[in-house]
Amino acid sequence: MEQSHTVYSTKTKCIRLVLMIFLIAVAMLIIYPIVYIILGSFKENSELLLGGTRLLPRKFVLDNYVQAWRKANFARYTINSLFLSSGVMLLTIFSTSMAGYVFARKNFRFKELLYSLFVAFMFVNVGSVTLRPLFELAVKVKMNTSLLSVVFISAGMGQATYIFLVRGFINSLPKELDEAAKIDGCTFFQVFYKVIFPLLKPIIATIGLLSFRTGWNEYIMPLVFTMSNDKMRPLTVGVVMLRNSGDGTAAWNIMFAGAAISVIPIVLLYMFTSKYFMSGMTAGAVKG
Amino acid sequence: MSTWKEKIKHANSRGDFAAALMLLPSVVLLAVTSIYPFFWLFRYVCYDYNGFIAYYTGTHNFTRMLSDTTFWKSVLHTFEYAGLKLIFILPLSLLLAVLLNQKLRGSSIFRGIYFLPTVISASIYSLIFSFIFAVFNGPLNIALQNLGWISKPVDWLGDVNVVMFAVVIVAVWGGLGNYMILFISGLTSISEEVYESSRIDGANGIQTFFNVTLPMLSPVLKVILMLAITSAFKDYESIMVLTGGGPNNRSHVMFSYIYKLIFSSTSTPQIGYATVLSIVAALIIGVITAVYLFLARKLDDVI
Amino acid sequence: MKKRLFRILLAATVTASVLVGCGGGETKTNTPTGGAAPPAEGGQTAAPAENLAASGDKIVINYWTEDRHDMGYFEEKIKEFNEMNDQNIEIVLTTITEDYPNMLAMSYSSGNAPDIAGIAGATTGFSLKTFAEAEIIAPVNDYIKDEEFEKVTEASTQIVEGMNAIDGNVYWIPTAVRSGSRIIYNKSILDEAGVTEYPKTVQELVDLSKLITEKGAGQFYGMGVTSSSPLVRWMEGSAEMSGIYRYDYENGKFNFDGYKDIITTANQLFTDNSIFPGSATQGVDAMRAQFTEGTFGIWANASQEAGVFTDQFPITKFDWVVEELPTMDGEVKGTLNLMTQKGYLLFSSCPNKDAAWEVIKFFSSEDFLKGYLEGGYALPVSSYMTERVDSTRTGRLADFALKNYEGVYPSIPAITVEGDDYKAVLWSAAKGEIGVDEAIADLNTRYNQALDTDVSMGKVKRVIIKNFDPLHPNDGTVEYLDK
Repeated sequence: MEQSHTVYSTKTKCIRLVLMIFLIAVAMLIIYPIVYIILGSFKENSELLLGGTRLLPRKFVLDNYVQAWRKANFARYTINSLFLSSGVMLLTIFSTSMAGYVFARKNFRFKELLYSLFVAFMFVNVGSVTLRPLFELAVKVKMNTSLLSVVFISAGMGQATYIFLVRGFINSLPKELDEAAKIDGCTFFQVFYKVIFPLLKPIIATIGLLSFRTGWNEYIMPLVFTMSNDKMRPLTVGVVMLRNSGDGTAAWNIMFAGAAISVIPIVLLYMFTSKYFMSGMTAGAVKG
Repeated sequence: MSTWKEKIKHANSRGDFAAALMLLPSVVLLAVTSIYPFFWLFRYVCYDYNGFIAYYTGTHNFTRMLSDTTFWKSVLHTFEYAGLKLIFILPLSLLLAVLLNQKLRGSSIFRGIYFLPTVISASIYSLIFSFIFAVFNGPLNIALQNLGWISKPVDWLGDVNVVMFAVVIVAVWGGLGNYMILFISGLTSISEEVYESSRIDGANGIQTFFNVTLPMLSPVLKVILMLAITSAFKDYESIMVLTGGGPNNRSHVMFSYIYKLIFSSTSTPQIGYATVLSIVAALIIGVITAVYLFLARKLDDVI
Repeated sequence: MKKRLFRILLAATVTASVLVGCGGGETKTNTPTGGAAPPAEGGQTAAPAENLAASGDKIVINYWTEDRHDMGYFEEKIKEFNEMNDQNIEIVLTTITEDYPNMLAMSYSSGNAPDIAGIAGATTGFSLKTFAEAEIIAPVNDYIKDEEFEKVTEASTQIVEGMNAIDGNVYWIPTAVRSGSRIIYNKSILDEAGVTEYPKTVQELVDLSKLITEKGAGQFYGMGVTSSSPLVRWMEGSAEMSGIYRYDYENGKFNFDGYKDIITTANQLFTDNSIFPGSATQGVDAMRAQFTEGTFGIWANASQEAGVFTDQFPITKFDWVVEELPTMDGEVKGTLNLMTQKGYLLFSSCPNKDAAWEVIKFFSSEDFLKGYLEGGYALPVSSYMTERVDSTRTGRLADFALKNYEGVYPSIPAITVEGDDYKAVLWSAAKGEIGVDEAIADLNTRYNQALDTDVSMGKVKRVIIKNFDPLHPNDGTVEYLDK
């Protein structure tokens, strides 16, 4: 096979340069707010109050983080966020992998009906009002004092896409694998546990990361559930609540540090695992 | 004739019980988080429920809904928001996807950067933008003034004429990466040969794009467009953090207005009324989706 | 490498979450009651409640407040109380900075309501009626009969139906009062603008703001407003002093027509762009911080600013002057409404009502109030305390001393209005976002509709005062009508 050998004319080179500049400009616009907050978290409050476009701190301070961590309770918020995100991740992986497997490999009477229920409720969304009945339900079963209720709701609301992902993926696995395992004496569940699940690893990684991110970034739901209970708040809620901090001066410096604390872990996680994030998005959309 | 015991044993060997148990978690989650709230709504449509006591009001909620100009304005704003957002975000993300699909240097770094905002919580980046949009000393106003593009600071979040643009800017910033990746995956499914043959035919970049790329993308485009429309109609978290509904309710969309009816502090909660509005909102979104699907199918027949 | 890292991260988060999940999510209060069903009994009996102190544990009383300007004083006194009281009570203070009434309601629904909560007549968004009917709060009629309490607070004279009592059930007794609004000026800025006289009419105030902004040329501005209850900062007060009130006592209905002139005049501030840019979306604390920095010259608020600008945001760069509100024509034709404050609600979910009452007594005691009032945080409301407070020690609060035209208006029917409340609508009209006539017509329709509905449903009674005199609002004859 011949390798095409492109020789760029000056015209093409010019065009490529222009495009490059465009891409760089967009990238800078995109990244500016993130850099602004991270660098801003090292500024002193007086410098923040002055505002301006200057990114680098005039004086580099770490005190904002110390204050946020200790005084403003961010240690607690971070732990809550970790709990929430890992909870959502684990529960999602648990429920969607099994459900996807059942949909892919088992035929039963109401299968299509059930499947279309999942699809239907993905679209029929009554939005913000669902928080109220869920809140009241959580109170009735006395679960509203734990973030566990938020874990369930977040996992429950996001599961449809992941079930489709798993189902689609398993459908692409040859049925002979199942047959072979059954001949070896595996039950339905054992086929899943021993044969299919190990093969699901890339999908699981994607689902895990995406659901972790969803849990980490949840705001409105934990806001409603932790409104009156500061100890349960995750980072997202804690940071936004600082906006009206009445503790003396408007605590912008703590807010910046807090926002940075909320953003840096997930950004780092993303940088190391970006491949999985992106593949998940594509598989989900194109197949779903 | 099989007895019960035999039936059970047979079902078990087929894995019926295992399957049922394995489905249970997700079905329970579905029932609790989606189905239950849906039916809960209908309980309160004829009541004025303030979270503690429900007063029967008959059809009052419906008559109120019909004359509630703030609500219908919020419906209008929802269309405005969705329209503006889509007009900017889709072409831009498509353009970026196409550009990144050419083998330019550093494509993967750019891709990483463009996707970065989607990883961050909407509430956090909305908070960041509220700093950036600050009137007196926010970076945006200062930068624009330094460039000479404006002479006086713009009140991005407090001026009724500007606030929707500010909100859309934030929405585009936050969602760009998502759609770009979807387009990229769609583009990669177009084989090299198609481009080769168009190159041989002598088409330049732009002609290739419109005559080759776009048509081949159309199935993916349809899916992306539907996702974009439905999610744009449901967005409200960012608005809540940025403006809380905005100066004089200017930036309220349906769901933020409903949220305020339930959880706001400036009045007693009016949950019964909120349920009626939610049903109307869900119907509106349903109609939009149906219309879109219909149009998409029609376009398919034509193209 | 990447995979390994991922696995390590996964293991770490799972471990962390397991460790946390077991211990996470504990509530702060140790009130044993939870759940959504409101307990049936109110706090009327003085019978001893379950005594958790029997085992030697402290009885924790959770006290929530939204007041931040006096936090320092409260923290100090609470510390003293915790160390020195002999009933094993420990007070835990929590300051709520946003959405206060909502928080109270939600916390009750969630089962982690506080034991007592600070309340004021002016607490925005708080509907005593809703809380009373849902039995979130407990009546304190029996508790306030306590001799010492009555002596210091003169509780029996402080009961106002609709404000701190519903149908005879008293829910809180105010221990202090906030003055009506004042205009606060940055003297340095005024000097720089060459201004020597303070405005007596609203038009003069608006003109002054414009003048200052012009002289400021981007360095400083005229008036600063805020997004938090903006109308009450000065406009509503100026209207009241000009004889304008939203309720027409003579005819027993709402009438917003009187606001037209003042709104139209105030609108000039926005069309002239003579306010601090962006202040309409800034919270009150952010604006106070800016005022302290000297970025604008005219601020407005009530007596709490004395404490704010001394302790919370100390003003060191310039002199600040407190002046009376301007009126439409320079003459005072109506009473400036006073808001009583520093009352304490008792929650029905509180398991130790007696202990909670002890805390309320403490906050309402002579010793506590003397220190508080002399610290300049608020003005005394009972004549007993007024006599005992040494007003030379109250610092800047003396600038906010009550004028002879300040008083309390008779309460108007508490109705449930659908849509935005009048403060938001009038402020929007002042900003120019909606037409003044449109706004007023809308308010008249909605408020009177709500009043008529609620009266016909028997929820409230129409209040009529024949021969109502705005300068002496409590002198007329009050009637309560059923339709």
